[in-house]
Amino acid sequence: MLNPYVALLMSFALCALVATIMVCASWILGPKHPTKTKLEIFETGNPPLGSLRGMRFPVKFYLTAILFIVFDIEVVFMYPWAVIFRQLGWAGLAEMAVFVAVLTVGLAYVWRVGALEWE
Amino acid sequence: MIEIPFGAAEAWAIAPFTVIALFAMGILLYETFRTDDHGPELTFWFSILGLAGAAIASLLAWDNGSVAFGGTFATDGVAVFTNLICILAAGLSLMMGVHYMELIRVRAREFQPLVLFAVSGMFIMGGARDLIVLFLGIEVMSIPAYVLAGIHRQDHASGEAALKYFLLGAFATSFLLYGIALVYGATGTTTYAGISMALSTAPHLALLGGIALLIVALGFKVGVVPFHFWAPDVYQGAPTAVTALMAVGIKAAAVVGTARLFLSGFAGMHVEWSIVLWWISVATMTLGNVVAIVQSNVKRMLAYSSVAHAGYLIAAIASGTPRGGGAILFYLLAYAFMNLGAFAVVIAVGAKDEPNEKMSDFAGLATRRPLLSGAMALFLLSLMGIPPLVGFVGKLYIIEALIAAGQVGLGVIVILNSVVSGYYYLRVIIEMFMKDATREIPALDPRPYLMVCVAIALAGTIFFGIFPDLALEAARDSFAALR
Repeated sequence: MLNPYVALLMSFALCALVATIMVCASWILGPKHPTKTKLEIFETGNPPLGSLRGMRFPVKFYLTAILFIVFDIEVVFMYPWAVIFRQLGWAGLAEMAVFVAVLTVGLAYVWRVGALEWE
Repeated sequence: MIEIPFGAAEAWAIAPFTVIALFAMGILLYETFRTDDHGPELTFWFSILGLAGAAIASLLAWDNGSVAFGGTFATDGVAVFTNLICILAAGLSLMMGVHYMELIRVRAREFQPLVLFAVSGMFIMGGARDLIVLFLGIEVMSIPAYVLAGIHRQDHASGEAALKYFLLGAFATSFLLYGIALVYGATGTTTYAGISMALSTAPHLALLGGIALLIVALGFKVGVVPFHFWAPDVYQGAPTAVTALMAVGIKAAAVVGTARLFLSGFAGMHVEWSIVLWWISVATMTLGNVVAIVQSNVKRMLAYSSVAHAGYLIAAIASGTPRGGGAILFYLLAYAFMNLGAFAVVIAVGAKDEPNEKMSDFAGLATRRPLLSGAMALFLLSLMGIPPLVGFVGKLYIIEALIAAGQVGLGVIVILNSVVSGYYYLRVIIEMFMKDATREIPALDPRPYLMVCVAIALAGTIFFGIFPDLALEAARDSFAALR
């Protein structure tokens, strides 16, 4: 008895193997001539100003990122809903309306506590 | 056309947490949009109104026969009983919070809405008849709890508690999902009804693995040994009003969720899982009690005591009978009254910027606050299991259920552990009544809400100790009707 999913597993294993061989081969076989210019950050990047350790950066980036992730994930729920929107009919529309209403409460809260203000 | 099932059963099933979620959102919006600051009282009463509405909705929705959403959610007696315990826990925690948040100088407008959101998650856990719904309930309950643990932002211990609780909670969630995946793989379904039918034909090893992972995840939420390490730190670090909610409400919802899963979904594999729960239960109550003995901080002692009580509850699940289930519900009610009362007294002893949680801070309390000390003594005696208080009746029914199920050994261990617990409960009483105050503690201004909270807890502790039948019959019937 051979499970049909064994083929899938073998395909995964093959993919992993090929990828590993390609990366390793180019690492081993490829010529390396590091110069100072080559090791610098490419073109548009700024040269680093000191060590990253102990560097402080504004917490507002963190807050914005968190808020982005939260609302981004919520919107992801809308994609499968949109795909079967017609089959769901009015009940589906009502459910999504409730969902968006709850989301709006969250947005209103975030706005009022000042989490959206950059300065 | 895809039919979304939504009839009368569904409407009633979601009524309790719709009410509570609407109140939570309303209070949140009101708190964020108002410009003046007029204390927490008004929103507190709105929260109480929401909890009362949810209690009424739960009672109206009570229907042992019907299940909603394709059999994944029940509004049976177990769910209603759990809802009422969680409402009690949340109501008393909020009542403690009115003064306590002022005391620790926290002006968090999110406190009351977050408690209500957590309660809506507890409702989902109480009625879940499907692993996915159980997962949903755990998450809706836990995420507000993570925030609540850290709501005292100036306090490092509170932040530590929140981070620990969150990281370990997220870890437990992954265990839960792995367990659900394995059980689904073995049985082809996530509903308890489907699982119990598929048990005999399902591949044994995958099923055992799934059950083991589910025990790990639920054991974390309940706080049983060896998944209890977060509990003392989180309970001690979180603001006391939040600790009360976590130690009672969250524990109640998690225990009932576990009990329903094992007594209905996995009922056919009782032989396999009861031995695991037997050992977990013995380890939990023994470790909780023994470690509580050496604590010098009353809040931390109560944290370990709550670990020990989780052990008694797991023992009742291990009995595997509906009688054990009924004993769990009654014990949770008893535990809610006496433990919330004890935490309220801990808050009442504290002053501004002085938590006064050490054992020595309770020395000579009886001469300064005789009524408060008397109440604390009764709560502690009840936690220990002294008649005619409710804790005694609760333990009695757990032991009775264990003996009826033939687990006499476990019953004896529960009794022995109760004796051990006497040591640390009585120590607080000795400090309060037989020692002199070690230092001058300033007189406190009256705090009516806190005193009402102590009074309600005391009334419940005494009333249900003398007249247990009222709640006990309901608790037993609800689990006997469990399908």
